[in-house]
Amino acid sequence: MKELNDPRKVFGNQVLELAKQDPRILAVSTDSSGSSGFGPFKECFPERHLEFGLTEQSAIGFCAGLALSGKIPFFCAITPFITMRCFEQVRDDLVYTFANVKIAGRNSGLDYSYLGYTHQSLEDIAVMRSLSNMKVLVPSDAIEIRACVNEAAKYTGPVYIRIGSEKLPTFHQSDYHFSFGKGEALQKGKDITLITMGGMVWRTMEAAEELVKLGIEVGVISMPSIKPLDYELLLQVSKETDIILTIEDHSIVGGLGGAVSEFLSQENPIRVVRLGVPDVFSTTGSYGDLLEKYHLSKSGIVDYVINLVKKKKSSYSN
Amino acid sequence: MEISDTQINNLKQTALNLRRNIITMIQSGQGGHVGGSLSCIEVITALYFSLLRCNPQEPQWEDRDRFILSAGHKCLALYSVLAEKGYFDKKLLTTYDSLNSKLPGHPDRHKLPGVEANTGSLGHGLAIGGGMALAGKIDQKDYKVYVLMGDGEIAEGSVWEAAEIASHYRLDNLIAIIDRNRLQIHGNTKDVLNTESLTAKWSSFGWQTLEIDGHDFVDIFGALKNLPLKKECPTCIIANTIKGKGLSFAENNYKYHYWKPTDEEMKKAFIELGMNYL
Repeated sequence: MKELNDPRKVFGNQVLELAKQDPRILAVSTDSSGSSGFGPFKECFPERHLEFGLTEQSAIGFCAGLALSGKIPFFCAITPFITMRCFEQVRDDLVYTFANVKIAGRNSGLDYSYLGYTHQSLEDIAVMRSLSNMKVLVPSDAIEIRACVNEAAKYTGPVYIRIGSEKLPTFHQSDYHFSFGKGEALQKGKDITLITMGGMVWRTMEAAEELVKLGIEVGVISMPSIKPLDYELLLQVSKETDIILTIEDHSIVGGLGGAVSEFLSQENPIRVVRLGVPDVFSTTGSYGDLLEKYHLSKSGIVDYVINLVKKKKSSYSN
Repeated sequence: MEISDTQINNLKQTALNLRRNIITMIQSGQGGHVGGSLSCIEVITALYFSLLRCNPQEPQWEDRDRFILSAGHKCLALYSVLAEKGYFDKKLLTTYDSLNSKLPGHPDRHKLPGVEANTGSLGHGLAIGGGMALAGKIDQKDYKVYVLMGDGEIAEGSVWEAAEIASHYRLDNLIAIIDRNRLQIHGNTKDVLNTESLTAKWSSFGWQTLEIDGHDFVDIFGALKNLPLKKECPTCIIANTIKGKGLSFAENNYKYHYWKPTDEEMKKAFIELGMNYL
């Protein structure tokens, strides 16, 4: 069985590892240090962990001021609160100011399945990628989370990292290299190519394995960098496949599917279908049930792809 | 240490120059947020010409005191004082509000030396300044951070979040100055949304609070010379001021929050400030 890791712990521990080498790095939380993966950081560097209580707006402002004074704050909180409650602070104090602050949304997507719409985050990618100069990263396993944290720390400027809480299997090799604006073609396929991100990647890979067995030529691309997006890879794959299906635990409005569609509709308009949470308020239930409901489970993806490919083939025969 | 009569006279002359600079910019840009820019001139003059530890030749000097204009629309006052202090060539003032100007309608730290933060949307500056003050504490530096806000601005909830954090972290190197001119865009602050009582509110948030006449250099100097007012407490100075101060027709008139001058008004402004109308 593959190793499973809690993305929050991996994130927090990697920030801690970097902090051991770089005294400028601070961990920031708003009454959720433990569930943001900063428990070990707090223990190791209590004076470099800043707790701001329930003040996400001002916490962003404080992070900006700290960054303008030479610090590198890593601020992690529940996704809607760190992206949307304080959106204007992120926009003005971080991005427009170009402050060297890294923000991480955790328990993203449908993770807070029982807690409902207020805690689920289905719009964070849409709003974050609307900001000029913002890097938007959605890593898919422990190795990629560490790589994204390292790259974010090396870069001077604002970065948004989106992680979940579901334990993820590791599929990257230890020598994996991540760069901003680079996607990863995991396999190629003529019938359809599935483009996905974050915790959806391993599910999509498993679904693809099954689809191949059914005789469908399916490609898979992982997109850890939503902004900047890998235009080169998109253009190339759009010439090699009949349909692109984007798969995301996010609204179909403005997320990965939106980003891919915006680019391809202009550069090489092929059919792009967006699979994600439809443009309605999400519901509550177990995480597994929600994934089933929105066709984001392995079997949901398999069924969805079979239907799409069948329709395509039948439209040819007609 | 008290301020001397000579110092006061020098500061008064500088304040007059700053007001003249503002009129020069408004004439070039054909409009600007004049009311609030004029009300805070004495405070800004005292800060930059007798209190702030700063060096225009080295605007990013690590040990400098920081001044954040949270009420970014009062940028005419900031541009004016930075030019007067020598952060940039005064000739730039006539480019105010032109295409791609380094002096836009709200300050941008990437465009002009001496600007510490990109402000404009109200209620952001205290948190940014608080972060700078907190960094100073972490690094055991002795610089101070001054944040100037309007009395209308402090209706923003984010101001009070920042106020809580500042007192929690005992940031006695952080000084909020409220330019209380009692007016905002649509009229009297007490009618639009009453933000009083300022002293009681700031005190209850754990700040040491002092009320001064924001046009009196003796008062300003007395309040700001020996900070913090109390060790381990942030300081809030409530500066009572007159919106539009220095232009008789604009004083205490909310309609001059933003001013698009007529030729007649412009001439009057030049005469009142002892300038030659061109």
